[in-house]
Amino acid sequence: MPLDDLSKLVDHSDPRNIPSTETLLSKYNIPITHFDFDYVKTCNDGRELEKMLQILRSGEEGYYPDLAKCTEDRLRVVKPKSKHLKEQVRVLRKNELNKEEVNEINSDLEHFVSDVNKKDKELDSRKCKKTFCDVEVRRCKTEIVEENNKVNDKRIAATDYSSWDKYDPDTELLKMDIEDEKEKKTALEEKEKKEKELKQLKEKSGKTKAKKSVTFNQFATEAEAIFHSEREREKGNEFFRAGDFEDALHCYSNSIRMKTSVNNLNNRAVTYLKLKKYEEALKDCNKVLTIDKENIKANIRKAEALKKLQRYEEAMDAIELAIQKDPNNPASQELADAIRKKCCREVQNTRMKIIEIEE
Amino acid sequence: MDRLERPQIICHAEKSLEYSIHDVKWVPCSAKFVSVGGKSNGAGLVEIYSMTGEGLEKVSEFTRKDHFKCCTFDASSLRNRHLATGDFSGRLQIWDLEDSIWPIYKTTEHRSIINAIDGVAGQNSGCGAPEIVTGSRDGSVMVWDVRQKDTPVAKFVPSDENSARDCWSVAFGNSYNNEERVVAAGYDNGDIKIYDLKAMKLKWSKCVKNGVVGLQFDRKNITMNKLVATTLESKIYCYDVRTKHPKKGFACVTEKAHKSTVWSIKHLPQNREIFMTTGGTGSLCLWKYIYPDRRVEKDADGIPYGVAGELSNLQNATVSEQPITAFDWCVDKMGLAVSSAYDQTIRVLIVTKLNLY
Repeated sequence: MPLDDLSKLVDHSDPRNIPSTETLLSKYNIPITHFDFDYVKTCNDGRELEKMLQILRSGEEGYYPDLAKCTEDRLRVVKPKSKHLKEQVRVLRKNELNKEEVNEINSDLEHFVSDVNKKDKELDSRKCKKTFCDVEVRRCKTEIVEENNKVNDKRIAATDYSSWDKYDPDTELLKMDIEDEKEKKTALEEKEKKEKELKQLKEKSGKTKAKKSVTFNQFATEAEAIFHSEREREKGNEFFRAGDFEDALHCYSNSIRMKTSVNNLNNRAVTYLKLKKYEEALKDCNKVLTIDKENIKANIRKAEALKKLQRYEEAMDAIELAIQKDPNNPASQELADAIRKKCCREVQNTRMKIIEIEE
Repeated sequence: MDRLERPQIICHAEKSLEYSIHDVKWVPCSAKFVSVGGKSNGAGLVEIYSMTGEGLEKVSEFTRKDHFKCCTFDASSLRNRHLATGDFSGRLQIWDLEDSIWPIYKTTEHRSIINAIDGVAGQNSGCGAPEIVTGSRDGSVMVWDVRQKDTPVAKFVPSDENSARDCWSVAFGNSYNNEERVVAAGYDNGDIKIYDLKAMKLKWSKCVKNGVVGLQFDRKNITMNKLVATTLESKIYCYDVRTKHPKKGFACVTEKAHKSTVWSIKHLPQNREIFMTTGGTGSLCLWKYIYPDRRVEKDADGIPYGVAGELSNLQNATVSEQPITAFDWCVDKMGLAVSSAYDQTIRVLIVTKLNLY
């Protein structure tokens, strides 16, 4: 690497550029001696590597593709999450994928298209022009007119000396403090109000649960029921991922009410597990298993619920079914081990009993 | 995450058209989408395309006097699937796609082009009346109920007509029950405003430096959670709108991407933490919002304030040489999307591996 040349370049680069824009090299203040393969390979400072990469990529100091590549590789080791490593790719064409992938995508899409076309036809055949809605039309007489250019009318012009004479910074500061206090107070009040509302809502929902289930419309078509049920399930998934299990439970229950499916029952089961409602979880798992006897997820969750309910033998049966179907799942193996440990004690106990009977 | 496990964006089908496309939307519960725009002679056009095994097939089309700028199905039910459109001269029209001779609803209240439209509650029950919101160059934002002819049910107008700012984007949100609902609007001077429709007042306003081109809540029918705004000069702002502090306002994370205008932002309907932004250089960026360990902290006075998370870039891919003006995810199939660009081409895209996130 001709280091001398590089430093000369800095001094004698295009004179028109120097006064107007600073070069990245001087902006980041990185010693020119650092632009060296040996230095880069041992550098552990992610931020410096990023800066060097930016300089090398900018081309301001000349074109050094090998050094840039070397810096990139080092950065990938030191700071793999750096945004400077994000490369822009072209959108893939079908012919750039391998055959298996293309086939998988095509069959998946074909399946979707044929499935959704059926629903589409059903909806078209049951078309209705009217919109049904039990909520009244919004009645707003007032228009909101915003004050676009809100100018602070209290502001004193710099040359308005008589006003400045009257200006007392201490009282102004006091005023500001008082305003601050007021803001804080209202914020706290609002917060309390919100909490109260939430409490009331919760109490209400507890009382009127039975009523709520009636408010959901019965759908005229199967397609609608499936569509709404799926949307509600997806909403539930979001709440679940964010850790709002109560909200998730609500969504899954709605989804099940609209159209029961293996997926939404399974999802509700795992939500119940998270909420430590094991009996309910067990019920949902059993419902899934009546539809699909060998459902792996349902069996695993059933085992988990049974384990928590201390019904270890049944739990063992459930988890064994799951392992039979999918032997390579580490999670179910682990669960099986845990249950087996608990089971052992039980087994010993039962064995004692067996001996007694034999006698 | 390993590079191989990252989502890939694949172009499934593309078709060149002979007019400028301003907006594209999937028809809910079908393998069809609409493309709206206009020809160089000024005529507006709505076309319906259907996915067939390998390619795309035009199902039907109709032409009207003015360019159609934007459209939405979100305020109509699955059993009628009416398309609401906004056009260059300020008309809001609602069409039955199978019988498009006359619109089933029409207003001319806006005096200038309708830049943006959004609908709510068409396909969900228990979250209020189906309504449409329109934002126009005349500076006003109007909310419409199909059951009320001629006049909007709510209207937000600038105080002074001369200083009115061009409204570029609108979005519904916070519609988690029959009463609550807000409208967010983005303007050309960088103002973002949230209007509360229940209290009929301005709830929040903020000026980001550049004109707000795209705006969307992560989900309309929940307590408002996140709001993403995209602007000129390649900025993306993601606000956590759960918690508002009197001084600090909403927590916000910003990102720079696309090296040009970020034209649109669309959250994945199946997972609100993932969204796509489209850029003026023909690029698509796929993002995931990662929540902080604690979303809410309390300041010295015990007043809660929000903590912003992080945006992680999952994919950055170029589709076209020209700006991608519109993008829409398919609600019925995760990862399926359609986009339109200034190169007068519509593309059906597939984003893989989204279920892993």
